[in-house]
Amino acid sequence: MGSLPYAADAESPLKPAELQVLRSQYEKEGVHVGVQTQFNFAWGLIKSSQRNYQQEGVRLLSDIFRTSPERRRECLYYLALGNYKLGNYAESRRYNDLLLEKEPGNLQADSLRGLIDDKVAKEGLMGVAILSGVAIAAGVVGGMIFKGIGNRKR
Amino acid sequence: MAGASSGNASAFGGLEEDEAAIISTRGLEAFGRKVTTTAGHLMGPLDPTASTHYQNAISDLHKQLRRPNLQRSVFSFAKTSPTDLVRSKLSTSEIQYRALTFLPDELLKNIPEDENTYSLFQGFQATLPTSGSPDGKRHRRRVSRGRKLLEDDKSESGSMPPTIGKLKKEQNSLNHQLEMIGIRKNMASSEIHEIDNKIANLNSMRRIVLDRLANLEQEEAILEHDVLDVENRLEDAQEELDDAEALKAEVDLEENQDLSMDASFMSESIYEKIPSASSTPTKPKRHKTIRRKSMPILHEHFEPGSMIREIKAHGDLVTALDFDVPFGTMVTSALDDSVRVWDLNAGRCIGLLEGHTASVRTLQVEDNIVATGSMDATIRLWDLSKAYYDPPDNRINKDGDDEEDPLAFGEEEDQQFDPPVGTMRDCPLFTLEAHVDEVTALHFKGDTLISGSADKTLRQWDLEKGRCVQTLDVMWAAAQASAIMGSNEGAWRSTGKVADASADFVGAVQVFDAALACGTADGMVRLWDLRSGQVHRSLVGHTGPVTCLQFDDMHLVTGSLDRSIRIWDLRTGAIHDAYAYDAPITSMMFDNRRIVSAAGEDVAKVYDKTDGRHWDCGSGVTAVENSKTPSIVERVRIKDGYLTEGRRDGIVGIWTC
Repeated sequence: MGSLPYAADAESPLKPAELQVLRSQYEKEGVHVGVQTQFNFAWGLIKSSQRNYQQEGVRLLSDIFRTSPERRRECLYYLALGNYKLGNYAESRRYNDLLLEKEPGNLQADSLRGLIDDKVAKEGLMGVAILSGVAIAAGVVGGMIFKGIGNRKR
Repeated sequence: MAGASSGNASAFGGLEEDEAAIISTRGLEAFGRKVTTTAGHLMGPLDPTASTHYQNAISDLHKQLRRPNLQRSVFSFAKTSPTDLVRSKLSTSEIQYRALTFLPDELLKNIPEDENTYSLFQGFQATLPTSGSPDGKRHRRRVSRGRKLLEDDKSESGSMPPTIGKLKKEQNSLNHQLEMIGIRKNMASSEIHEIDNKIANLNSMRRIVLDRLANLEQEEAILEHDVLDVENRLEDAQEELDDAEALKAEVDLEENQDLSMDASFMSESIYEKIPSASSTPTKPKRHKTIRRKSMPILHEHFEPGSMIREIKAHGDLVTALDFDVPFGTMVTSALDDSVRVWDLNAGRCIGLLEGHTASVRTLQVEDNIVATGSMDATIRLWDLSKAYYDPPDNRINKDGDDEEDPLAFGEEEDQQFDPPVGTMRDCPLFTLEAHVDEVTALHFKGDTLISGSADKTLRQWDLEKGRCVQTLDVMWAAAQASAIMGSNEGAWRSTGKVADASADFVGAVQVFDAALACGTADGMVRLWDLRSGQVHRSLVGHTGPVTCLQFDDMHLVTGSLDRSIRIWDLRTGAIHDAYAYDAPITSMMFDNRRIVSAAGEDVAKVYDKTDGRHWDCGSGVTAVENSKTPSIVERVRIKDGYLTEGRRDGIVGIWTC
């Protein structure tokens, strides 16, 4: 059994009842919440498909990262994964690269890097396409208006 | 949230540069990070490292701006996608969220090696309910599933041999379960570690606060002394002023009224009889009693049973001791015939009460008044407020070693043995002489003092006049009781024990208003009415001489050489509770929580009334590890959880309890 989940694992949301169990446990422990409980809830949130849940999950993870140094290395991966799910590729890459720097042989981190690159390239191309489309349209419209003005002047 | 709104404004400031974003996204990104940092700086002062991060971000920004434009724009596309960029710069909630989750580089750099026994993910898998059932039911479900597995196994083995594949699957699932349980075990143990750390943290915090409390009490005591000093000086000044005025008036009076001389002569002769301090201005003025305005509470926060101080008080068996309030004044007496007064706050001897010609058997301290009953058949009363003693000087001089190490009494021994001479010379009030044999017990409350003596009588004294007002003959009362009741109840009983010969005839007395309780060598506790001088109730139960007793509004507690402590209900006269130790009880006292007694051991025996727990308090508890052999505890006193015990070798120990 691997000690880290692959990115695909993050895409399968928990049942609401399961998440509720984790949430109630997290809330029950109050201020002196244990790291594991906090992580359980955070990971449950990240797995969910709701964006605000995912954000809350990442926030909890960053709390863990701040408060318990012995879990930082693991947290890096989850932070990267959470941010990847959120579409925050810059942050995701920042954490993931740091982890790969520490553990070059980490398979999960390696695959996550591939995923990030794919997503970035795809979205980037799409962005370029959209932008260029907009630019062309603007050019055409602008040209037409220009033409119209020219026509009227003439 | 101020940070949110400012972040918002800056985000829309970024909108104007939207055009430029396409070519120099990197610059914008850096700018955005700066915004994020600012927001984070304003919103989340959680992390002390965050403040330095702001500077880092600024310098980062400058570095990046200096790089060639082309390189930057190419890089930016590889780093992240435009939607991410737009979102991170434009949406308020996104910026808030980023500010909350942002981790500064310092933290990212500081990543220790992984030494955990299980990963968080494994922990997660182990915690997550296996079949989606709520947490509480999980265990039961697992068990039943396990049983089903076994049943399946049985039924299958009964009908036909199970296939290897099935068995393998079973093996796998069992192995998986085993692994999970291993992880759960590790989780539980690491959680315990976590809690232990937290407890240690809290404990150290508690220690720090306790130290602070100790310092505060120290300062409080010093200040209080200063206040007292100023008050006394004020009083003196006022008195001097009054005297001067009176003198002036007298002179006027003499000049005006020569005729009334006869009358003033008459009254003066009467005045002379009144032994008052105010009539003789040359005599040192009586200052206010050294009574504290504030209650020391430090000892209440120590762990029960921890030592506050140990004093080598005497060179011989401690026969009696008492103190007024925690950290107040203590008086001890021993077989070496000396009576010493101690300042419990500084832990040093203030002086000696000299006057008795034999050793003191019993004593009581109440505020500034001390009563001592001695083997020389006399009772002496002392006023400690007349002592010449300046506590703060000693305090300050000895501050260091006293507070840092209360156990280090060894070096101070000599110091404690020679108190300043003559400090107590004005203390004796008067002597009560009427008993014909040694005084073994006494108690006073208000103006009434009751003493019990080996001459088989009790005497009641009026402290105002200093005279004996009533004599109660125990034997006569016992005889009368047997005559009237026609039964053995109330009569003198011979307990027929060898120890009785050495036991005190009157072991203990306590008085409250007109009620008097006395415990005697026949094991009886008699309750007297001082108005009639009669015994109105006898409590029968002890089979050995009663050595100590104390009552409050509900109960009477007695200790006896028959090794038992008995708690009587005062209203019904019945036994409320009783327990016994291994040796004769020589001394006992209770406060509102505990009954402490000396039972021939090197520890004081404590019975906690609230939770019914018996425990030991004293140096005997740690004797084995300290390889010391503390002497047997002979006398105990407790007030408000502040326990003092006197031992056979003359050492007095002070404990919290």
